[in-house]
Amino acid sequence: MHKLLNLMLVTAVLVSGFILYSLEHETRGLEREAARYQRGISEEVENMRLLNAEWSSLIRPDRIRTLAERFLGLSTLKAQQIVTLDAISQHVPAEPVMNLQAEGSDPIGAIIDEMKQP
Amino acid sequence: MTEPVTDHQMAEDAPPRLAGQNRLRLIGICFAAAFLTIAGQLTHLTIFPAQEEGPVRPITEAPLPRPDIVDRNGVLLATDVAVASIFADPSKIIDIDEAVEALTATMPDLNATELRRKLSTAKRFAWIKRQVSPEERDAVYNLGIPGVSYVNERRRVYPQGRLSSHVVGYVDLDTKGIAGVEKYLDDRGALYTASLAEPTEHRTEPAQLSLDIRVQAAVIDEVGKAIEKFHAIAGGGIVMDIRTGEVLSMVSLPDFNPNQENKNFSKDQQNRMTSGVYELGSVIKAVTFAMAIDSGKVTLKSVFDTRYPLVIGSARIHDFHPQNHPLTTEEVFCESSNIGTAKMALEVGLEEHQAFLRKVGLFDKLQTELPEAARPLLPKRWSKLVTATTAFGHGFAVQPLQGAAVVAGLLNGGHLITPTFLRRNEEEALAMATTVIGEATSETLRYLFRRNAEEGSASKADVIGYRVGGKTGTAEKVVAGRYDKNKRLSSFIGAFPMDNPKYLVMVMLDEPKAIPGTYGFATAGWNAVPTAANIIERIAPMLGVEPVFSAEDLQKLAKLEEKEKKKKQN
Repeated sequence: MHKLLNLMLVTAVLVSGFILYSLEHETRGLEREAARYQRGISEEVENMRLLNAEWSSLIRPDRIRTLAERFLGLSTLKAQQIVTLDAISQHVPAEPVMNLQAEGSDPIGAIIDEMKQP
Repeated sequence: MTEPVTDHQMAEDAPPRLAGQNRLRLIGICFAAAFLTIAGQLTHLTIFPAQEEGPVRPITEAPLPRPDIVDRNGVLLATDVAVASIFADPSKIIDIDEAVEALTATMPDLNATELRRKLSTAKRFAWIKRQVSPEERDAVYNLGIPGVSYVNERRRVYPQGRLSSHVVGYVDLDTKGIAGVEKYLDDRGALYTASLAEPTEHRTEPAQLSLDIRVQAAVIDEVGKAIEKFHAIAGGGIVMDIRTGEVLSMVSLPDFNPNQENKNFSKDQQNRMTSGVYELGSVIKAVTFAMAIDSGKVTLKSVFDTRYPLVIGSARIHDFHPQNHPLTTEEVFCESSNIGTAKMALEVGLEEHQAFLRKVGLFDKLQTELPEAARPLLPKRWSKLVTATTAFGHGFAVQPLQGAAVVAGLLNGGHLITPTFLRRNEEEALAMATTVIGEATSETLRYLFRRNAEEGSASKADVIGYRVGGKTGTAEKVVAGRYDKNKRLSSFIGAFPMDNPKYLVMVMLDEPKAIPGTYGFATAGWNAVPTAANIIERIAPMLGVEPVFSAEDLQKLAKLEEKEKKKKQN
């Protein structure tokens, strides 16, 4: 009776001890992992700050203007270059697409037709 | 687990046994009780959790980061970046030559002789290079030189450089704001700064300014070009939203780069738009006109005799362009007649004139978010002569931003709004505005401003399509207590589109000179006005102002086109 009881208690102690230590081990592992992720996150946040700052200095309007003037040949937009949609619609020719197709020289229409074919 | 308890009960009934056995049982009972408690507590915790467990948050000791500063479109103006500073403990370095060679190979801008001198001392500490990039830090770390290490630091950077100089300001080495909005975030705006913080997530929302960096770039560029072209010593510009008081751009040249290490800026580089006061000259006539028309004593039909100088006591007031016929109100405005404007103010009366100037806030210091704010310089005693001269902006000086704010208030329907560098919407602005003149008076002023840009002194500001209106001012500067005829401050305040004004543009040039293209003139109409026109042409499309062309405009455009065609043919 006593022997059985002792045996059970010892087993219980061993088993609970084992469970406890394995749990703790697992927790420590998770903690380390969490800390690693945390470090990774703050490193990435730091990187983002740096990249944001870099991006902002790259889109400096005076820099973009210089580049646009030098490489794209652009200059200041004149008021008369701005046209409303209504004004454009007045200049659209009546039925150009139909005519082009009829003449068989509609490059964009040809591309669309090609895409339609499986 | 309950067995020991029954054992214990049995022990009371059974005959006594050996003493040691009793002790063993007692220990057994103690253990059992301890296990029971733990088991009970575990069950309790599992079944009834004591409190809701939120997500685990790391506890960081570091102070909350300083808020980033962004412009109205979210473009970054100021941020903190991590930097490392590399230092050495010379006593630990084994081979100095090798260390110097390795370090100079990694960081080519280091001075080898100086580095050698630093590392040869008997000290325990020497900075090698402060505030390096993460790449450089890693490179040095990977060299693995014993005795060389780094510490992490934070550094405030301003990616837009000089575009944000005066408004954003800058911080000292301990990242404490000492100028501009940066100082506001630390001092008076501390409450605002605190509202941006999110301590649970250890981060801070950015502070959004009313500034539009694209507009700022256009203004800085055009004012800079004008200073160069007209050989001015300084200049400035302001673009403001008339209905909300938001400042979209404020430029003061010469400026500075807030990223530079040495921040001992000269007095010349200070923000002259708020921390300096200037006599704005004829621009102030707009205020006199607003007062006179609002009082009902002057209408557009009124006529003023400006043929002879106005004599008050021993002083005589002259006109820059004397006319030999009486002028109507509109002509007084467009010819910028001092005599006419002075007579207008005298008609309204001294008391009322003072009261009106006080009402529009020209007697008080204007305080925005920027800590740099100057008090207006006012005449000490008020007399008939003072009223006459003040009427055309002579003898009292205010911050240029204050002048702009007052004119904005006169043009937006009479709602005087304190300008701001933070975001604000129209309702908020209207709620805090004081009404200074009636809607009808404002309407008349808009008409006068527009007429002046169509045919008057500001005609060079009339960018076709954008319906600009404006008023020019050329004030003689006070040098050693006297007005100097050859040193002028020319300014322009205008707004567009004038049928429903949305944006105010101000340009100021300090001591512009006459150049060959201006036929010997150095007045505002020849320098500040064309500069403003260039600014408006650049910013109007950005701000979404749709061009509208009148029949006259179309004729003008057709003529321009013909001219260009001819040029090409030649």
